[in-house]
Amino acid sequence: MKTGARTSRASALAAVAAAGLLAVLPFLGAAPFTITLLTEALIFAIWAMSLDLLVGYTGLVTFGHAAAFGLGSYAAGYFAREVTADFLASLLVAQVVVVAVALTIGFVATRVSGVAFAIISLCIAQVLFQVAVAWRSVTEGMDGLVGVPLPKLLGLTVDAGTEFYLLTILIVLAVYVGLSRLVESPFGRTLQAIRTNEDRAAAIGINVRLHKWLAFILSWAIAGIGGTLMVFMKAGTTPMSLHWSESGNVLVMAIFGGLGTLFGPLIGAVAFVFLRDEFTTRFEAWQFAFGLVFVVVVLAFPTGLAGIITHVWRSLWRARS
Amino acid sequence: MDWNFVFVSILNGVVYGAFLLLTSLGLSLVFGLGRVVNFAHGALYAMGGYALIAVMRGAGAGYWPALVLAPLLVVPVAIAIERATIYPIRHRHDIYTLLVTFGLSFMIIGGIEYLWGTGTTLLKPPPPFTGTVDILGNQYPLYRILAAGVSLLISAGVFAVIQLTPIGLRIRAITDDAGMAEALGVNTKWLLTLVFGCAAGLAAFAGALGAPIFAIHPEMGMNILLDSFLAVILGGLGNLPGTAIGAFVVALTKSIGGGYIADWSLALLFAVVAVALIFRPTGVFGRGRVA
Amino acid sequence: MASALVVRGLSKSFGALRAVDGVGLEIRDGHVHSLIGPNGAGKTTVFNCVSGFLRPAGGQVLLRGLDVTAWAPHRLVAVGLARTFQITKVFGGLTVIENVALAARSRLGKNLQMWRHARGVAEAEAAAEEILAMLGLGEHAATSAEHLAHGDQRILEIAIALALRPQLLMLDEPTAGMSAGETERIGELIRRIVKRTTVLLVEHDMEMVLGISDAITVMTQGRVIATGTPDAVSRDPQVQEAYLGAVEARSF
Repeated sequence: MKTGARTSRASALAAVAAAGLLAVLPFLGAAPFTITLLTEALIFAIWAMSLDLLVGYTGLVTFGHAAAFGLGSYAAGYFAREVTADFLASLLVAQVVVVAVALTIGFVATRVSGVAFAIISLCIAQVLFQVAVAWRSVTEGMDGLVGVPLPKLLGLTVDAGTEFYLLTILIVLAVYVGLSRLVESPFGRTLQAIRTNEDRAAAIGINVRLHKWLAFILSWAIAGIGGTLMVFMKAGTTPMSLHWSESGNVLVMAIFGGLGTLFGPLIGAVAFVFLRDEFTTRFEAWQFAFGLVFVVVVLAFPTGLAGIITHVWRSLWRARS
Repeated sequence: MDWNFVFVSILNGVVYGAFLLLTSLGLSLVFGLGRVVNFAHGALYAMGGYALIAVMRGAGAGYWPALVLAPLLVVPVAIAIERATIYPIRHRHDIYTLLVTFGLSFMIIGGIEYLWGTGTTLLKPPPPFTGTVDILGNQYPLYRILAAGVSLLISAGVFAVIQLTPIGLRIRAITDDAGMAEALGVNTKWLLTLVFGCAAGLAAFAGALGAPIFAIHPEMGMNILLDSFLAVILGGLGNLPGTAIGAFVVALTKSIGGGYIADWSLALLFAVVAVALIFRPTGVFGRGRVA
Repeated sequence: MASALVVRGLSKSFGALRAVDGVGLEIRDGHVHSLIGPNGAGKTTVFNCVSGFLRPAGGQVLLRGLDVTAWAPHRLVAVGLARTFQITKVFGGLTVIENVALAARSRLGKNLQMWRHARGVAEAEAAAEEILAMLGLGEHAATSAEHLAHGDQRILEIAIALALRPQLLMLDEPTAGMSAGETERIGELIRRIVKRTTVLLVEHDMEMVLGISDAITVMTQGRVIATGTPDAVSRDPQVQEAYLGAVEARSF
């Protein structure tokens, strides 16, 4: 087996171990509030990883990723409330909606490159935000969707708190392992080639547009999974989940964590949720502080936390040999 | 059909278009020259509005002196920001300036919220322009006409500088081909800072000038930022006349569409842009494909 | 012998500038055909038009009789055309062998495979190894592409293109920025490669071109002024004038 395949086996095992560790936390006496925060963090991790696929691996910077997440929330939430709260069914419905929208929008959006794409993606999110506000009969406008019941898995209700937390861990693990495989596959390598040098990629026979389109759809679909989980966790959603500031938040998570690494955005999301909790309770000017951290990370630590960790790890490894 | 309503909507569209022109031109110039997408442009607009009320309240000044001072306060700050955060990373991939200015936007808006709170401030038009004027049977606020006129005048000035002056020629040369321009010995470093500063000044001025019309609140710049982006996309990178047309297309679509298709005007706008992009895919914003 | 490439009446303008004006070209199978001319002659524009990176304003491009005018680059690769870039565009973050394997996987149609590990495509790995060995880059296989010496990077460019098993290999100034020794090495390499694929070469280095080409087309100011064997072309008075003039311009 090639080295590459061996390390991805190792990282998959590490992921399972980490998931196991997280899973036992509630039984070791962790506070319910910490568990809630962790659940939120893990849901954001899914969202941030989906962003990484698009930005970090394909090189398509998007300022509208809140749209994918929020759309998933609305679709799943509406279905759960009106039809059935079965988790898998709601997830499926949300996926269908998100993929359908991503397919159409993505077709147009991926026609343009870099900067125009970033702006178009912002526009898309704004439009969906407007739709959420205006389509009162379905979305209930600015009040938002409320009264989404607890999800049911195979007939059994998944309680808020520990049970939902465990469900989330399972899904995050599945997403992480799945995405890890994807980025190591020929498809994943092709995306990275496109990010590195689009012209060169086209010159070696890669259908750049098709790949961008697929990356867009996949990225939205995974974000939609996060949105589905979130709407159940919060028993509802509001148009604010589609707001541009949310798109900014997920970018912060991914960049802070380290683009192009998958596990970077994952820890970035966790760091974000816990730091934000600290910041908002202590500082009034937390948005300012946030922007400052963002700017500093982009300027000084473009590889994010993951970059720092990898650097440290490698120096330790070198020191040993 | 209520013709008066349509007429007033068109007037509003023209007024907004004039303001949009000021912000869009700046955005287009900065992008054409340095390939920098300034996401903080909307925040600079907001800074103009807040600088205005800071001067008016803090120094007790009248509207007109404050209007002149506001952009003058914002420009040095903008230049400092550009030198500190954008200039150092100009050789990195485009993504980075995109992200940095995005972060700056958060910082500026956060700073504004911290200093002045999240509320909205309404400003009355300054005397003697407080009244309305009769246009074809409609009473239309005089200040709006004045502000639009001033904006158009200044925009014309910007065009004149770009088309007629030596420095404008340099800017156009670099916009067309940065590599060649550098080879010809054109000093691009300070030029970008200068243009950035001017663009910031235009945006801040627009924010201050528009305060009596559009109200002041921390996120006042976001919508105009979005609209400016749309205008620039429609018009094409660094293409000033195109951007001007784009600005009015966006402004009129919003104001006319907003009247009849309440809340969906932005969706309509996006459809317009999407259609435009289908017919002009690579040429609108991309690099020309050359080896 | 069949024609690997036929170009007829190709034209392309940039604004008011007619970069390419009614250019025609015919490359025979198994030949090394060079396209030369002074700076600004339009060679790169022709190159980009043929390889799908620019849309010609007029004219036809026929690859083995198939009309591929204005086809997108990836479609051209599928019908046997591959190109290199004048400004080295290797994938810096990947190793040398990964660069070539990437192209090989693309040729094998694996670009959309999402489940297996990329390095597990044995056929691509084997093809990459073979090409690297043939071009003398075998010892650098695990080196990061961005750490290669300039000369080796230019050869890597060619390796990547070869991994696509092209019928027509287009080289865009392969010796750009190279020393005399390296240029010789490339020339010798090209003579070996032509056994596998027809080669179209765009070059500045007249000496090298005369030494390795089977046929030469000379361009100046957007037009073709001569085509023929190296002997015939080097004796052509128009060519001598165009190049003498160009030599003076180049000594800037």
